Amino acid sequence: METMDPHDDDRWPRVEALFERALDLARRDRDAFLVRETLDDPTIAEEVRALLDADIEAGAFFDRVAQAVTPRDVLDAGELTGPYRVLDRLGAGGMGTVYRARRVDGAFEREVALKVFRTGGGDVRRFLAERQTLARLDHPSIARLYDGGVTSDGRPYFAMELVEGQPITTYADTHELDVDDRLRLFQQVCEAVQFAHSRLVVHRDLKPSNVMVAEGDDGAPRVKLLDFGIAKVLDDPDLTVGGSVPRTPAYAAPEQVRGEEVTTATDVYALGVLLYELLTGRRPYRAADERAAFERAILETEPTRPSTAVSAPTESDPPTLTLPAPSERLARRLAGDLDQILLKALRKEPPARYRSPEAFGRDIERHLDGLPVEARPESVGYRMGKFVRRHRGAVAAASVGLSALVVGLGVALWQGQVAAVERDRAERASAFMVDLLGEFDPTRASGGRADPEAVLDQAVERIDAGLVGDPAVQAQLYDHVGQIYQTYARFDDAERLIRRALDLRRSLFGEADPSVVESLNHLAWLCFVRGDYDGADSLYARALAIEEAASGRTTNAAAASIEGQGLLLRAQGAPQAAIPLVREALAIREAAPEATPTDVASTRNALAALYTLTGRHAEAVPLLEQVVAERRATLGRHVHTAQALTDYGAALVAQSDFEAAAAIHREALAIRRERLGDSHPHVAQSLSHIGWALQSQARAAEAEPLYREALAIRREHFGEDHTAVGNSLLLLGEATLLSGDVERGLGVMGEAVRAFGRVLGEDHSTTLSAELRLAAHLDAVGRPEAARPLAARLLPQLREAFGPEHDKARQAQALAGRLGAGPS
Amino acid sequence: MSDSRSSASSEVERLLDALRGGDDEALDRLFPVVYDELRKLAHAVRRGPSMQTLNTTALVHEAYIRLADEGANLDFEGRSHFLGVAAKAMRHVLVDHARKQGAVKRGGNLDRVDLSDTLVGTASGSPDQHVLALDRALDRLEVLDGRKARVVECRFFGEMSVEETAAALRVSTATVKRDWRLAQAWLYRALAESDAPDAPAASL
Repeated sequence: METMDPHDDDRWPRVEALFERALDLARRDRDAFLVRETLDDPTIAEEVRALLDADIEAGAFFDRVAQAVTPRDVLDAGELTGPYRVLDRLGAGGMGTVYRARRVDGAFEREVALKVFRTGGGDVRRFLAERQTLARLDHPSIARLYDGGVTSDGRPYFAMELVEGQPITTYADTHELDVDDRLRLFQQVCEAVQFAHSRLVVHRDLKPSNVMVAEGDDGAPRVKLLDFGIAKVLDDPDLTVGGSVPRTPAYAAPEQVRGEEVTTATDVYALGVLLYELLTGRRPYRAADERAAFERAILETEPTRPSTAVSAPTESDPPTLTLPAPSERLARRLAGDLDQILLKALRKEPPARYRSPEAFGRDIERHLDGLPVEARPESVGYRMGKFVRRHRGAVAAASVGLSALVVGLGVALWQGQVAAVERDRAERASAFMVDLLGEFDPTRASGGRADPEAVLDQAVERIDAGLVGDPAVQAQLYDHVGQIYQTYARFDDAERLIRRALDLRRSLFGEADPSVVESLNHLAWLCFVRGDYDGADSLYARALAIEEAASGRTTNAAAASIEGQGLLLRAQGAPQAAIPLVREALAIREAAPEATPTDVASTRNALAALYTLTGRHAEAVPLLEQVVAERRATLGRHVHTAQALTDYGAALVAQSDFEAAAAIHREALAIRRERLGDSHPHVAQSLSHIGWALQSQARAAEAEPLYREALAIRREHFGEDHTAVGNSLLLLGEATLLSGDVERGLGVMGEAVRAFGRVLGEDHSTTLSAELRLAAHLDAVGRPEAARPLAARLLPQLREAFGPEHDKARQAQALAGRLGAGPS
Repeated sequence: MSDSRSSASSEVERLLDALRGGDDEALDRLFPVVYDELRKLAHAVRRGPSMQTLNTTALVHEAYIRLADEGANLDFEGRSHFLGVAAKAMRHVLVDHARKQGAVKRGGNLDRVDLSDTLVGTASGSPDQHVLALDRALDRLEVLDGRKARVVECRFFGEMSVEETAAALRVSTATVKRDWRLAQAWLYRALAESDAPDAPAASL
């Protein structure tokens, strides 16, 4: 019996219909049914019968064929990878496949989880370097990383402690834990994450499947965290979406969604989501089908208060877990402390969250003990308050600086150019640093506060005392810590350490050593930042002289000195003179193999900025174009790409290429809407740019709705009293006026002037400039009687604010003259 | 990552943008680009130091997953349409590869697969042979019932869910389930039966 052939396709619809109906029948009834239905053509019954027979085996058969044709497994049981023999497959995820495996070289007996990653474009050397850091995370609640390597076909793998347990949410669910039990279990998670943070490792991908619970010998639940720091190691565009954004956004913090720096505060946020889910059976944001919508919720929506989440109707959003108590009782239990604790952990601004997992856990402890909790009801004053703004930079710098400490050394390890002796030195430095900072418990040293600056101070003492026999390593660490001090604006300490490193290197290696050049460049940059331009200049010159004598003006180090000299000229008001130097630095870096893409890109940016500053837009444009192309290629639709596009668009406007500029700004707008949502201030910025490009083409009527949208966004974000709102009002007023609605336009421009006056003061140059524009428009629409007194008042004020030779003062003079309003 | 990868990716990206913007024709233009991209990706992945444990189809498969990620930012429907295109491309790449492996040279009956022995690495059921046999059977199914062939492409080569397949083909999930079941039964017979698949059906 042949399968039905294409030539017989007129019978096919009947076969299909009968097959489906027969499937609904009991097997023994099918034959009679088919005979009855196909009296006119029994061949159809036969075909259907054959298909029904085939149906019995077909599903399993296809599963097997699928396994053969599109196999997910790269390793087969029994296969050897490094010293491990694969036993069987445990599971597969987005990043790769996990196998149960055993060492065959007898080094140890136990079975391990072998995680083999999908081949990414990532740097295997960096992977290998960082695994050493991770291998030092020795804590009972963190799954140990034993080993790592690369399979024979080039895939990175990790051998890790095999954890048999359940994800924490499942555990709480199946064991019907009550609220207190869940909180205590969660405290273990906080402790483990705190431990890792004190070792300068951030998890970055905390979620229930990485937080396992196993029962210890005593039957008590023990938390085991999986994959610590691995998301960082594999920060590779092929493995994560958009750089550091995890594949599943459910636990992603706002800064991850925005593609910004991930810090310890990011883990605190993920811990908040985890506890939220444990207590309410839901996540803080309703899962949307669309990733973009979900990301917008993370960025903009306030999370539902946990007590509300459990008492609200659950039909459209049923809990995924068994609740720890009946919902009404649970809502009462959550209202108050636990609501506040969770909302604090989930704050959108990293500095507003708990300072550390330890602080988070301690607040839970206070709640369990019936003490007042640290999380206070949020107030607008606190939220936008000066405190946060003053500390935001410092806090971000703190976390970045500390992770840079270890990561920076890690990077040095894999750079192919690092000579063996230096690599050895870097390894020793790295090991020392990790031990040093690892043993140090920040909670003890500074009265319960994890103060990164205290960690640094402690580090310096230990470098002084602990490494006397290893001056080369000492020097490297002094230099490193010195630069971190610089990011904290502790310039005296920074200088002391960078100088000490320089002195040590000079005495060890002599003057003509690359490490001396490095120290000189670092010291020069420090002087520059502090405003000591003469000091910076002579240091750059010295560094360059040494480097030039050794290798010519061809190396990345030489380029650093040359660019520094250029930027010095710019800072001293000679941007024209800076251009040839920065251009040379760029040419060197483009050709130097040891220059990283980041080095090249930053110099290119500096040059483009110089061109823009000096009005050489024609030269800025191609560079900015290149920057944009790089961003597009390396980052895709990223916020940084949008920023590069915005700079590019602004340069095009300066060149009066309004049409191209509008298109570029529209591209930036699309990215920003996609990545940041529709009501982000950056969206308002792009809207304004597009509007300006249109208005410059005498298309004010098209610009008007864009300005209006921008204004609404800015009002929502900044309130009424903000210069950004003033700017939007000014643009909107002008566009309204130019598109024919003179009255309303003038009214809105007046609003703009008042906004500037409130925010900046009535004599401020910006306020005066806005008034000047208003006066010019009054004149242009034929209202000299209104324009005249305004111009008369503005002329002396503008002369005072800008100086009599400035464009604005001249404009005012011309206007006043025409109106006969000039002061005597 | 090679330059060719990023430029091809950006072409995919551009077409995805167009798709997102409602340009349905972008879907048609997507196939050759995706097909090309898959081949390049698979080739790039294969340039590892050693091939001893590597299953080439696993590599093509990996390349597919990576490519499928490109559509991650589309809405569900757009993503499903994209996956549908990618699934077709996946089929062609696997078939090309299998042909190149010289399976044909060994002669014998390629359309016949020993049902008792379909695991990787066995003499009578190499993945390449499976792919070629399935491809030819699918060609026949396509003539008989194009939609069912598409369902197989999506579900089998694209590893798409029932919901994704339904969205890609603009039919209900119930239809996809029914089609998938009947198509599997039909293909099972086609693969299992006579030695002379090209002979016209005598009976029936």
